[in-house]
Amino acid sequence: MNHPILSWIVFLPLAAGLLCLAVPKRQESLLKAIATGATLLVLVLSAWLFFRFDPGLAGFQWEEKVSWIAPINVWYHLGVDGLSLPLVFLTALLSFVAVIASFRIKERLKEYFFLYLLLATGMLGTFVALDLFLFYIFWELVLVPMYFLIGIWGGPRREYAAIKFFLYTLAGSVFMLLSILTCYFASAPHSFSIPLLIEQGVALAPNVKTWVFLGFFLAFAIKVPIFPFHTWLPDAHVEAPTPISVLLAGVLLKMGSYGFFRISFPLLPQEAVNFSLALGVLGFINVVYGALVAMAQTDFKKLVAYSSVSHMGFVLLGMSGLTAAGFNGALLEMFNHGIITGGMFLLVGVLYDRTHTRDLSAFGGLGSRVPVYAGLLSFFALASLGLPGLSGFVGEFLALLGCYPTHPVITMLSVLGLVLGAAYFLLTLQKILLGPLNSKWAGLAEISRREIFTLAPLMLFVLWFGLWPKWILDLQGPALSALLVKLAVPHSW
Amino acid sequence: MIVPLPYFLVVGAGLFAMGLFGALTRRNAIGILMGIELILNAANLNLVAFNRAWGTPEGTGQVMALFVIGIAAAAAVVGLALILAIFRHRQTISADEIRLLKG
Amino acid sequence: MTLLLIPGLPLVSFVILIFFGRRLGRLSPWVSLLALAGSVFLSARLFVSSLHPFSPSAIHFSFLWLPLGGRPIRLGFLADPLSLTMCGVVTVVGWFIMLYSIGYMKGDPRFSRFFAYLSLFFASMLTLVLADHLLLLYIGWELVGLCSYLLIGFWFERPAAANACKKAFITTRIGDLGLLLAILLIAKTTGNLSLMNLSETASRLGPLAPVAALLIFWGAAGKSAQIPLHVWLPDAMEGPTPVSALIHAATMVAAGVYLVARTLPLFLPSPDALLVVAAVGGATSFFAATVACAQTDLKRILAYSTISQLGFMMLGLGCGSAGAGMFHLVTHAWFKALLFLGAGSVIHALHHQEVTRMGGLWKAMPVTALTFTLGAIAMAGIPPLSGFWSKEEIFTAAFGFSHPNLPWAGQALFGLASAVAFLTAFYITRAVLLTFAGPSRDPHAHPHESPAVMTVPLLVLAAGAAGVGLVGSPWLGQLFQHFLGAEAPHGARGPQWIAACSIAVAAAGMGLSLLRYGLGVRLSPGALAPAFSRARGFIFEAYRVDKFYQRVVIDPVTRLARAAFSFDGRVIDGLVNRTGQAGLWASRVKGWVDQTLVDGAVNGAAVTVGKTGAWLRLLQTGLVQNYLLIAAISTVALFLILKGV
Repeated sequence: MNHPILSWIVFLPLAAGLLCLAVPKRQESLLKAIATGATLLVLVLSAWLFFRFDPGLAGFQWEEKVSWIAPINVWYHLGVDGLSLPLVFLTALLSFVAVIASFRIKERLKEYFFLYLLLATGMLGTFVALDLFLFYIFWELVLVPMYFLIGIWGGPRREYAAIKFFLYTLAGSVFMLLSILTCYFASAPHSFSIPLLIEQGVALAPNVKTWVFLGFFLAFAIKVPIFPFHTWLPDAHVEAPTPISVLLAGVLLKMGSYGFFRISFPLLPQEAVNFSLALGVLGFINVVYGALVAMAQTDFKKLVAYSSVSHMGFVLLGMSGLTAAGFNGALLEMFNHGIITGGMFLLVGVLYDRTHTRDLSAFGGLGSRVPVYAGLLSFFALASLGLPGLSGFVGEFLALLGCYPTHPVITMLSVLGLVLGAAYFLLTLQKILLGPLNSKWAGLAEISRREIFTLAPLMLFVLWFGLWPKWILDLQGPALSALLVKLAVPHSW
Repeated sequence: MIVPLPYFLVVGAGLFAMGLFGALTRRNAIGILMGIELILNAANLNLVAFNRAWGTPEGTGQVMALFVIGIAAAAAVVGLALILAIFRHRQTISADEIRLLKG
Repeated sequence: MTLLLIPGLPLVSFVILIFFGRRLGRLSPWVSLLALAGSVFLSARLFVSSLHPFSPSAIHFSFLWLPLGGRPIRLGFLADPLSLTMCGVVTVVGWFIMLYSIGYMKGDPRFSRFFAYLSLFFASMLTLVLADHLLLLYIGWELVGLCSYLLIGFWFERPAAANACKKAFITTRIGDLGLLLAILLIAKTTGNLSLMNLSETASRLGPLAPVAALLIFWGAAGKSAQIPLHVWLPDAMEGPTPVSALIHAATMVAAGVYLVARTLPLFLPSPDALLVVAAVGGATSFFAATVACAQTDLKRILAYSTISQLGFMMLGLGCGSAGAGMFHLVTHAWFKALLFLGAGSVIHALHHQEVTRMGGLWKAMPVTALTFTLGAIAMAGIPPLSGFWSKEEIFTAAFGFSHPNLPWAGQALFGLASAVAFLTAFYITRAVLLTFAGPSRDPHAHPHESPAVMTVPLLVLAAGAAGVGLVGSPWLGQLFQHFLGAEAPHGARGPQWIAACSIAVAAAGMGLSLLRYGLGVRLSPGALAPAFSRARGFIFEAYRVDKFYQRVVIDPVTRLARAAFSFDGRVIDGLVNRTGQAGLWASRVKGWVDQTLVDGAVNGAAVTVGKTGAWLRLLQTGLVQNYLLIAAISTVALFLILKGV
């Protein structure tokens, strides 16, 4: 360890946030500049990590380990591996993009950016923490700014949505805390260190382990969200301001699935194998049920929110397969869903800013009025419905490929989600873009350069990972192989 | 001719009684202030008289009296200034109506 | 690497046109034409080198795409006779259709966008064709679906086009599921998705081979509009006519046939799987031919005819003959592209496509009329035009088909094929007569011949439609079938009477049509007329399959979606909110306890202090004199106390 680059990445936003507090609130452009600069710097640093990461090594890189609370053996322990690096990069990318998208926010900019940057620190920290205690702190740190960001800058029902989100997630975290403590007291000497616990294994009776797994499961399931714990998501998404929706869908949901990969599976491999069928079934329900409910939506944003539920189902399916293809697919789908759905939410926001409505039946024929917007929306919708050549396909395909050997029937049923996905996205495109132009929007303004600028990097990655997924798969490979060895399941695909 | 001490004390007591009476009964704030001045003067008289009668070093009582006069003047200035300020605000200097300190 | 360039060049042209199309304006078609010409040239070179006896018959190029632990997925391109044949058809026919489009799309506000989409289509289609791996094929497969979607909905301001493109994409996607499942199944069982050495894959699949084969066929049925997934193709005619010619007649819809031909080794071990393909193909073919007889929209006639011909190809493949199916695919691409472009020329002139309002056009549009008629005759199967040769191949294959348990299957299929050939000759002659012959039925029409940029492709395609069949004819020793070499060409030619029968059936169909539509002889006996017209209405609506699907599939799914949504809101979210309310209620109870009991004690102390204070407050009057008085009294009292009273 030569340079604490991970600490820089995690705490730069926080420092910038504190700096924002010191800036007079009239100086909006300075506030924007600070937030943009900080997130850009984080993005550059994480891109640097991405390129300098050695994919040949299975272990953690850029580890930082400092004793923090010695009496209870808590360490300030950070590190990235192939599992977390794409997510760190995703978080950095979306944080940057969403800052640009935040420029439209008018009121209480200073508080907004402070909370926003605090949120960024929490999210980044969650993905690099290697100590359960630290992980928990970052995990909870995310909640608070999120609560305020939805509750203050949100839509009409923001308070309901914010409280629902906060309480729901908090309820899950409580169980995670119990599980963490159980693991802590089961280890000798007592330790919160994730790598150490993985290496030692959790020395508990099998039935206790099941409960520990369920505790983690509940916390992660709420975050993912897994049916039937998903109802906070549409509310929070619909009420949150656009940039926050982007982060919520793009990053926060990944925290749940990341938890499975980072904690549940390696810590409790036997339980993971035991629960694989349940995960598969839940994945199937997520995929098909999410798609069906999305199909019935009339609110554009809610539709995208439910499509997230459906997509996260593919992540679950891939996970439940317990195969290299499945794990790769799940991880890839997490990343892809982040950039694709992030883009979708940005596009919903673009339309909402101009029309002040999200009612799908209020549009029609915009394709001829705003061709560039139409092109972008079609692009992201197609990526979302899993068109090959765009990144959504690779993740979904690998997830299905990896799930099939383990749960063939579930996989066969889940592919229905692909048709339903195509159906509701094309229906949406038709309602918004196709047909004769609704005269109400004859004066609709085309998407602006700034908005295109927010979407361009996302499009770039959608294309890149759609055409050349090898790069990111190479990165994930060793970490996932190590995990598979840990799970000790017969190796296939 | 040496005037015996009790004479002074009687005059002082009389002045004091008049002053106290004035301070307690006047409605007018300036009247109250004047009453207080009388009380102070009674004290002065007593100070000078006691100095003479008990043979303390010459001048101690007088100096005390001079201090009291000086302080009384200062007190009067502050008091009158307060009264003036109150008058400007409330158009009255009746002590009955000035009850800002009421709990 | 040459292989990479074949789909790569159109892709480059797509990228150029999508970004700079507006600036290029009228030049944009030339960019894509040039790129496609490059692909034509490269495929021709490969073609020539593959003819050379000493060169390796398959040219192959692959790269690592998905590194997955021990089982990486390598994608690549493969040029073998089958893919080169398809490649040639796509690029050459496509080039002329593209040329034609310059005239057809002239003046369209999204002129360059059209060519961008066409280029993307070529890139995807060539990827599909040249893929050496099922996954890459699937990628191209989906991408051509996308292009089809974009091009059907090219005039998306029209609600019908907006509906049609969505319907096309979703219906084909239902088919794609089959292909996807086949991929999953093959991947799991054999771990090898390569399209080379498929017979080895088939033997490793063992009893699962027919399952995989039928799943693939399900996918092919979606793309090639076979029953029960045929419903999207007639609606796809909402797209510009060159698109109908290129995508929905000559190339993309034939991808299903190509796929089955490519994966035929998986079908071959199981006569049942083959029979399913043949039966579905035959049924589709017959069904669509009957519907085509009743249509009055020129493009819809051709659309149903395409479905019918695709079914015919499937029938050929189902009989185990890749040569027959592919041969018909090739000839069909030429004559059907020609027919569509001819129809486009007519529509371009008249601005409508109802045959009932046409007639007498041959005088105004001689080139169109001539080439269209030529295409019609080729399709009807009159020698020596191309359709005859390929149909005869299929007849032969059908006749030779044998199923272990159903000895009469071959004859039945042969009968079905003959019926289809009869109907084909009938409806296409009808279309020609209604459009070009007789007097004009629309006095307001002022038809004119199309510009050269449109008629030249017509002439070239007409030449192709006439002559391309010869490469597979016995006159040239069935060169084509030998070239494909996918299976031994039928050593014993079918009996001579098959050819005779084929000609007779076609002639009968044309003759009947001439009687009815050329000479105006009423064919339906008077007594049966009402029943006849009712049947015609039913057939006209394509057996009301659309309505059936609406009622049986779409409506229930929509209802299910709504039910799921209300379930989500009421039950699941209701439960969450109930939990929240319960929490709130519990906290209210606790709040009451807190306030009355716990807080009661605390507040009691506070209240006592407060009350005392209030009482003591009375002492503080705010009157200076009161204080002074009290001070005086207190002093006196103090003195008295000190004195010790």
